[in-house]
Amino acid sequence: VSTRPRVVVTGMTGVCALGAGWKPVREALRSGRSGITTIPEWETVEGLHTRLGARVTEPLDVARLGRKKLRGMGRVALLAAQAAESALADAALLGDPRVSDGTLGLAFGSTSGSPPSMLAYARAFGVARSTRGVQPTDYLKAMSHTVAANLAQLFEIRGRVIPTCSACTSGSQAIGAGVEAILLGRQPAMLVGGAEELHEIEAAVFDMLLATSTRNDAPARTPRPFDAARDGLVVGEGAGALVLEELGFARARGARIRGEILGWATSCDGVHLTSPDAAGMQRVMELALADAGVAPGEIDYVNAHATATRRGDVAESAATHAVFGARPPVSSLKGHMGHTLGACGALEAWCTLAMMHEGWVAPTLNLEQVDPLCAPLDYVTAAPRAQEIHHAMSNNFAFGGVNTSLVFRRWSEGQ
Amino acid sequence: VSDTVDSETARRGRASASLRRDEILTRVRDVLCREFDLALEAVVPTARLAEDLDLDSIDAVALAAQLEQETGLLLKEERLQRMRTVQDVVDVVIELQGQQRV
Repeated sequence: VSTRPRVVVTGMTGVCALGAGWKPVREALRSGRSGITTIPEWETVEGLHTRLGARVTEPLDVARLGRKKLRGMGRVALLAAQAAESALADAALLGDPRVSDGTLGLAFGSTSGSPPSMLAYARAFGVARSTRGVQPTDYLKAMSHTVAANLAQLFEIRGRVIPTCSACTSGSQAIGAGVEAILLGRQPAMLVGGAEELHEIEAAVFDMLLATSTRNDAPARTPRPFDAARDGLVVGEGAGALVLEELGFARARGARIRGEILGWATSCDGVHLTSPDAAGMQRVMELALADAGVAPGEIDYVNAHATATRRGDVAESAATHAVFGARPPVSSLKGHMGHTLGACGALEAWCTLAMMHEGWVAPTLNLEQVDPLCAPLDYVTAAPRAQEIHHAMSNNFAFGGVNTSLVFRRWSEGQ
Repeated sequence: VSDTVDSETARRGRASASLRRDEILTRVRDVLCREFDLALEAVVPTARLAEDLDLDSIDAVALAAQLEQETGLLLKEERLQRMRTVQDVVDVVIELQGQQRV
């Protein structure tokens, strides 16, 4: 009887509007510091209502990468590179030959390629109908798998490279793809994550669907997941990255283990491109619990996708309640860091694992009065809550009806 | 300030008249240094694009795109693949300048 391999996290970090690395992000999550700001230049976009975004303000340390590594990287890839390099360093794998000898694989996603390069490329062919002056590097920055391709080149990765570009589940599907590659025995280690670059074309999609917040004069007070006065999401940028390893492989190299990925599921609503579907959300959570072999009563924290849209939060709360009842604490990090789209699955997995390790739960920023249309859950509000977490779940949902759910187990030696 | 504006205008503007050989060499060297972080003293006419300046196929197309923007010429032709040295680039621009009315 063969036992199922175990997948552990040995490196993890992220960069978002709250800062780079756990220290500033932890401080912001605990103190209620918002990463949302007004984006004045969006006023020039005709028809765009929202002027809000969550922007990474740290300069990206990239010049040292050199021209050939940088020439195909737009901002989305640069953000990913910063997180990925820090995650490899966190796993004590930077400079390790196993990064480049085929041992390490890669799964990474983003909603799209770098928007400014998409526009430059589209302008040349769609408007000017000419190849004159077109930079091939614009295509390399704009292509759907630009993040995965550039990271693989940057770290000279020779294992599998799987782009997971499914909008708001790009990051969580990357984690899942990494888990599956390890479970199948195809790679002993995977660098996984997601990234997003703030741009008005992403804000505009939600804006046209009337799903963005337009509290343009009060950036710190929005978005408001699950709150009765929420008026939509705020797009953000950033990147999250994790190093996943098969337990035996991690132990053999003496890696520090940060947590275990016990369950993973992805599914589709199969109903509608944009409308949330509570039944599909419920199903993916149940599939992840079954994959983990964990009962609903064993989950001590649910990290919600909850972007602060009218219908999304209602559907997600109903699905969460259907699976768990009102017992486990629930919070969303979108109030702090905005909706980082392709990055959010990885950023939220990282923060959930870190909070689980430290024994606390972040509150949902700006959740002051729970919407009566949302199901009665144990919403964590106002202040961080001390909470022993043995198992946690992190959920994400994307356009296309794509659903993901991850179950984490806290790591203690001897397991 | 006006110097900066003038050179920027010149850089972006398309040539309205044929450029002299030395002007073309100056522009080619300028583009190579700017686009590929090269030192001016390395970009001599005999410098080999691949071996001496570390340029590859992606760079060759990027170079052509930049020269197109500056000269108004259309360079993306098979002769691009025959460029081996900085002087070859200059010669291609001169040759095309004679063929294409800009």
